[in-house]
Formats: sequence, C-alpha cells, structure tokens
Amino acid sequence: MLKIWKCMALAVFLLVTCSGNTLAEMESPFGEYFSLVNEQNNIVHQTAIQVYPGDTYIAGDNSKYVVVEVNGYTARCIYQGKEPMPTIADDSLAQSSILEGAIPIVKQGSQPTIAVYHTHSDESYVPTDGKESIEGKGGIYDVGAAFVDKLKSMGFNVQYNMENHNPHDVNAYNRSRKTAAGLMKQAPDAIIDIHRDAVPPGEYQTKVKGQDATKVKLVVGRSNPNMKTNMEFAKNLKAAMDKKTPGLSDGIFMGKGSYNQDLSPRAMLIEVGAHTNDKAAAEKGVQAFAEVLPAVLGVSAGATGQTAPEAAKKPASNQKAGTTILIILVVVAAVAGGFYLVNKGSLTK
Amino acid sequence: MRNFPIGLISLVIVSILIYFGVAHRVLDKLRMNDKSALAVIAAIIIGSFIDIPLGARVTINAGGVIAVILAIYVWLGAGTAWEKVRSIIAAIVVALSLYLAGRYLGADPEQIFIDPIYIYPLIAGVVGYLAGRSRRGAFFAAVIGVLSLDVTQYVYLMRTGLRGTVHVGGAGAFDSLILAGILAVLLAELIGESLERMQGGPKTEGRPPELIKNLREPAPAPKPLREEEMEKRGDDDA
Repeated sequence: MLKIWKCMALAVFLLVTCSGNTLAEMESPFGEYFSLVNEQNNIVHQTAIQVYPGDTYIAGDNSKYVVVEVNGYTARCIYQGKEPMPTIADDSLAQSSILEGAIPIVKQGSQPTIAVYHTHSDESYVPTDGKESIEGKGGIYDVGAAFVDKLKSMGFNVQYNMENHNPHDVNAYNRSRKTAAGLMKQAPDAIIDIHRDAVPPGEYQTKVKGQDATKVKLVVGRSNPNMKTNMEFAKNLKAAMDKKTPGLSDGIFMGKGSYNQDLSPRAMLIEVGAHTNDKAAAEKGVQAFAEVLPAVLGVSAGATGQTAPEAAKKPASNQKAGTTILIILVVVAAVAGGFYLVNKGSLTK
Repeated sequence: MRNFPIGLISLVIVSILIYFGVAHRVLDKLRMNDKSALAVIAAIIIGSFIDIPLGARVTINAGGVIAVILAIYVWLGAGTAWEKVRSIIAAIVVALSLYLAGRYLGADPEQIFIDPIYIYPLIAGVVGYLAGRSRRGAFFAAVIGVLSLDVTQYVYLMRTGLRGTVHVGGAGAFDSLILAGILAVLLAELIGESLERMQGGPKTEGRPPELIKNLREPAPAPKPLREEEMEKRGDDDA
C-alpha cells in the first residue's frame, strides 16, 4: 500500500512541480514576443504565441515556413516554398465591393449564422484603451462589436456571446469552451474567437481604402482533430482577403493548442492587430475581414451558377473532410486494436 | 450549418457518432449494462440543451449534472470503503493539480506541452488510477476534479466583483468535465491493463472465484445440438 502512495506522490510531484518549473521558464513575460527568422536571418514574422518546432507559418505572400529550432525568443524556420492557395472567383467579391453594404450582400433565403465570442476578455489596445489588459471588459469587445455590426449590415444572422472568460489563464479556453458549445447549438456556418496579438505595431499596420487599419492573422490549432478542415477554411479566408483587400492578411499561423476548434470544422481564431495598435484601426481591419465571409461561406448574393466560389471550393472542402474522417477512423481503429491486444492474454497464477 | 457542403456534414456526424460510441464503451467499462449506458448517453445529449439558472451568477447544464451524478453513482459502487477514500483523495489531488496548473503554467494553450483539455484527463487519469487503482476512481477523480475549476471560478468572480457567469458543465456532452472522465477511464484502462499484461496477466492467487471467472476470456458458445443428439440425450435422461 505504501508503494502506491509513494508512486502517487511522485507522479503528482512530477506533473505539477517539475513541469510547472520548466514551463514557467518558457512562459514569455508580457511584452516579450517570438521572432520567426528564415535561413538568411531575416525576420519573417513576429508573434506573442509561444512557438515550438513543427509550428507552421504561411506568410502574407503565401511563403510557407516550418519552425525547426527555438532559441530564447528566436525561432529558426526553413522555407518550404509557396503554399498552394484555393482559387476564389471574382463575381461574389466584386458584388460585395459594388454594393458597399447598401443592399445586403448575403444571398436571400440562405440565413447564414456567424457565432462570435472572445476567450480573452481582457485584451485591449494601449494607444486607445490606456492599457493592454482590462479585466472582464477589454477593448477587444469594441472590435467584436464592430465586426458584428458589419456582419449584420451584410445580412448575416449573428450570435454574439459577450461572456467574460477571465482570468486570462490556461483555463480560459475551458471556460470559453462552454460558450463555444452553447453557440454551436445555433448551428452556425462559422464560429469566430476574436483576439489581439502582443507584438510591436509594425507587424499589423496596413491601409484599407486609404485609411489606417490593422491586418488580421488566422490561427489554426494543430492539437485538434478538425485541423485539416480548419486549415482549408483558413486558406479560403486568406485567399479571399488577398483578392479583395490585398495587404489585409497577416498570414496563417499553425501552432500547438486546440482553441476549441475541435467543436466545428469552421471554427477560427483571429488576431486583429496587437496591443500596440490603435483600436480604431483594428475595427477597420476586422470590418474588412467581415466583407470576405459571404464569398468564402458560399452565401454571397453574387455567387451564382458554376462560376460561384462555393462550387469551386466544395470539392476541396469535401476532400479535406473525407481525409479527416479517414484519419479519425484509422486512429480509432488503431486505439481499439491496441486495447484489444492489451486486454487479450492469459491469467497468471 | 445549413450551408455546409456534404463532406463537412459527414465529418460532423462521424465525429459525434465516434465520440458517443467511445463514451458508451467507457460506461460499459464502469460496469454498466448496455441499456443503462445508452440511457445515460441519451440523457446527457438531451440534458446538454437544458441550462438551469441557479442564482444570478451560476447556471448549470443538465448534461453536465448527469455526468456529476454518474460520477457519484460510480463512486458509491466502489468495491471497498478504502477505494472510496482513495477516490476522494484522488479527486482532491486532481483539483489541486488543475488549480496549480492554471495558476503557474502559461496563459495560453501553446505554452504548455499539451492542450489543457487533454491535461485535465491526463492528470485525472494518472492520479485517479494510482490512487484508486480503478477505472471508477479515475472517472470520479476526473469529473469532480474538473468540476472544482468551476468552483474556483465562482470564488474568483465573487472576489473580484467582475461581471460573468459560471456555467457548470456548460458545454454539455462536450464539456471538459465529461471529456476528462472518458479519457481518464481510457487512460486508466491502458495503464492498468498494460501493467497486468507485462506481469503476464492478472493475478489469480487469493482472489474471489467470481472475479477470476470474469477475468477469463469467455469460452466459445457450444455448438447447437442436432435433433438426433437431442433425442439421444432425452433417452439417456429417461
């Protein structure tokens, strides 16, 4: 019996203290961020997201980098060539440009729903809000509201959950999971968790229609069974942004974590600017991002007939979904087989 | 989801079917028969859609509550009083570990070696198994341990006076509570069975005959007798 208690004490010690110590060292203090550098030591990206070997970044120009080594706050990357991107047809995006929100852009009768929430309720923008974090009611809610208003003006049905998920700790995603699962009951066409990054302002500064705006980065979690379909969704969003508003996209980052993306194949985490950017610019950026959603979701009024983007996109989506189903089935079969083998055997004396 | 292409709809359906299939298997492992396991899963699914407000700051989800009741039921069915005590200690240790993990590990999922939703069952599965040395212990420790996170959230909101609601088991069937319980049992199964097989099979010495009978692989069902054999047997009896 004593042996069991010793084992248990040792396991708890290892799990909590040991991992806690090593991981606490890895935690970047606020204001610190990671720089992704290529083989020529040029910075290709900056992010406050903890970077690990194996993480992938697709830059604004579709250059793909894979992180191979992390030293302190510098992540060495290997260039993998240009990532092939889906083709987005012109008509639906052009339609939304012509109408400029005067007439709903969303196709009549399609009733698409977009769900929106914020896992990190405190995230704020220093130049506008005065500080980077305001417990429970950060400036991020204003950015969320700008996004929601824009979507509604385009004819979307929007489910905006403004629940507070603070404290800003590792359990925040456990709390926001409840919000996300609640939103999923409305069967949304996409579910979006809006964040802001924590890097110098230059990473996100851009212009939209001649006005100051921030770029939008898409984040896909790789510890999530829907990873492939989420990535396909991210690539469609990026391709549509590049076509409609060149310079708006800050690329796609694929890092550790699940970010509740296991709940839907069309779940997305977006980083709208950083704490160092102006909030009004972030609002401008997120509204420009909203404008590409009808075309990507295949609910655009301009999307008709065989040339419609969804007609071109569906086979790719279906293919990725098929691959994901296959992977899930293979993993389940392997685990079931493993369990069968460990359960099979003779009794000892 | 009305506008999802067929592939995405199939993916959602397959994922849900597999998830509940695994959940059913786990309930089987908790010594529940097929019918009651199905009934519990149906209740959790239906319960997921029911939120019961409990005061201004707390809402409980009926699906999550069923998982907690199940954990208590499973705990009540533990073999010995000592196993019950160990399960409670395991639940406290899990709660403490999760609290410390939340407090001292990084603020974002990517700062940890594995996503938090998998850390809960990992801690609960290992501690629950070592403490209870049973699947029931692991399930109880995982569910009650994760439930404690909601309690600490309530204390936090009360202490800081910030706006916000605590949603106990709020994600229903997909809540970390249930996910942790399911994965903890599978982990306990993997650790327990692997250890037993490594030592060449479960020990039979000094164990009750009924348990040993259950541990044995079931013998193949006897072939149905032919008519003439039946008659012959009847003759013999006479």
